[in-house]
Amino acid sequence: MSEGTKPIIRVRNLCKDYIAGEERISALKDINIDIMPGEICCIFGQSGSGKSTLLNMLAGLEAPTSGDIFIGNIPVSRLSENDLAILRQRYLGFIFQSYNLMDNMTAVENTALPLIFKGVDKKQREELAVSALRAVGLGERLGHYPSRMSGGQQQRVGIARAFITKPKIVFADEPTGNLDTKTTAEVMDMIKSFAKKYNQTIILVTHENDLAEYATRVITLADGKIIKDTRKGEDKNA
Amino acid sequence: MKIRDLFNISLHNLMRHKSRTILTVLGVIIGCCSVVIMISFGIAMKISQEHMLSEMGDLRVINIYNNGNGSKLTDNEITGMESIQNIVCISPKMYLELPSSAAAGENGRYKAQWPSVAGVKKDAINDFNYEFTEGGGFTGIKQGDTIEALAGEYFAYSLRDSQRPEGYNYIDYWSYLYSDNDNADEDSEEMPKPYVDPMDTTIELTLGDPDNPTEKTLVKRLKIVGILKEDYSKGYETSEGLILEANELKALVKEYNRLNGIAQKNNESYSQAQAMVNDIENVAECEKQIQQLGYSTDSLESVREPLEKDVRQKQLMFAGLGIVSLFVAALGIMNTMFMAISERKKEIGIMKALGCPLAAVRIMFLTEAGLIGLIGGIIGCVISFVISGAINIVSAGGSFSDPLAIAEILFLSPDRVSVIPVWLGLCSVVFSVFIGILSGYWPAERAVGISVLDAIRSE
Repeated sequence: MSEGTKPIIRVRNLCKDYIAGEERISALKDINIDIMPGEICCIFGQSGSGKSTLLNMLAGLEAPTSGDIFIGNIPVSRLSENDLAILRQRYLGFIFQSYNLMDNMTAVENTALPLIFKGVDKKQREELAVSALRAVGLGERLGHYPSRMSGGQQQRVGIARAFITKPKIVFADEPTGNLDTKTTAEVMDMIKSFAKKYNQTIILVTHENDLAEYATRVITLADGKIIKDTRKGEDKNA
Repeated sequence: MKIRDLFNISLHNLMRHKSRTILTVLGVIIGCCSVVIMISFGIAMKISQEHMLSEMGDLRVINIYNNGNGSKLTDNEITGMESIQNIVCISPKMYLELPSSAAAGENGRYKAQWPSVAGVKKDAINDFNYEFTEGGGFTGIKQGDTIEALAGEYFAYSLRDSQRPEGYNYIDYWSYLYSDNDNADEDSEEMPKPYVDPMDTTIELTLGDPDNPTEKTLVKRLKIVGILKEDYSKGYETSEGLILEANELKALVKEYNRLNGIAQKNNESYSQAQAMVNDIENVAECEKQIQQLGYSTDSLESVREPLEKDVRQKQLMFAGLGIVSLFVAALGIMNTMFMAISERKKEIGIMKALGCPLAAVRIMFLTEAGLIGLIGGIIGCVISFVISGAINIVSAGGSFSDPLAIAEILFLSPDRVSVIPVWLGLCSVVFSVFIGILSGYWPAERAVGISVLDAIRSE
């Protein structure tokens, strides 16, 4: 794995509180992480451990209560919603558990969607989408709508969509949560090989032990705290 | 994000729910039609009113009278009134009030008793837009002691042949002009000619009654330089009378008075004067200023103003009725957009997560709402033209085979019930788009405010 000299993501003293009724619930407590470029980082934990909250905040989908997040030198936690959209458009890709494809768009149109926001021409957009879909093995289903595809196929469209803009970081929230074991392996291999090919950083959130296998680094959360941070080949307690 | 892509997405989204879109557009069509048709009624009313008024006479003319106790209408005063802003021309209007007669032909064979003889300022002929059937206005060229005069259109017919018996001594143009020609006799095809052509002969004007032995008459020769077109709004003299320059007429009266030893009045004033204003809009103001100088006035303004007020009120009422239905259509658009947004909440979330700028989300929904307005506006505008045409044909009373007659009813006739000028058609489309965008604004803001996380989770 390639390690840059500077971390691509820096998290400093990150806290997140939710207010539920009268109660104040701490979802994340004083998180500090540095993630290097090219890392496949798995955020691992039981449900309620705060792992999804952490991912949402790294991706700028949710604002922290206190603390700072930097992607490169960009202070994510201080950007306006519109600037966050631009940040996601330029540097970030997403793979969702429930795929989140547009029901009224074909595989090609779904894959090309992020390119529309970047203002890429229709022709170029479609060419890129077709080659991305071929790369995930869906060359035969270019014109299909999501409703006509299996879960695994839909998730492969999701992967093609996430990687089409060649983002620096791809966030994947339980990407295989709805898939069977065989498909899970296929999908994870695909994600890993793309990341390697384009030297991308992957942030993977899961509660499945098996998925951690694909990671180069596993950060384990429990009750909003990092309880373990392991790089492949070493074993270190946080 | 490219405008064309935004537009395509909006259009695509509209097409996804065809029946809903069609119903919403239908609402806009009805709203647009009702506004356009209602306003067209108002415009048609205004046109026919203006037409009616213009037939009554020139709307820009103010008649000025001595009101007895106020200032006198003397030459000086009239010249003074010329300085009132927006008055183009002001002229005394005097009538010969002495017994008189006009004669033409050998030994005065053809004679008119008590012709209506009016005096106006030389410029007035041009400035008050007197129209001619022959010749023109005063030339001002003196030819001996002949006086220039203008004859009314039918002046020649008022000259009766003194050598024929009473009842057979005149040419009857009146029955030719005004009788029903349905059962016309064979020789009524052409207007009968008068005994003399006034342009070709000298008219002798006699002031005073020759049969009165105590009175001395004054005879003057008139040269007719133009035949006026009949226009009762300008005076009866344009029909069967004569018009002289006011100065000449005044001089004639003076001379007659001297001849008969009648004392001249010192401060001679006219009983009436007329002012021409440059624009209808300024008539009321000019009238007020003249009244302040101490004269009575009248003009068609006193007819026009309440009529116009009435029409304006009706126009507002009509437009108000129309706008109510457009307002209902706007609510329809808003409702449709809110529904679309709650249905597409997840899609909006995905788009935002994938980096769609907020402005693009806003524009996307505004475009959708605007498109509904545009489509409804265009169709509504076309339908309005059709309905308006149908109303006009029906109100004109039935079936027409002649395409020219149909075109007349559709595009020219002042009696149309509904008139849609091009600007109204264009405005209705622009206004519909505006209404669409306006009613899409609030829903669009709601879409912009959708939280990505909530949207993606809402499965």
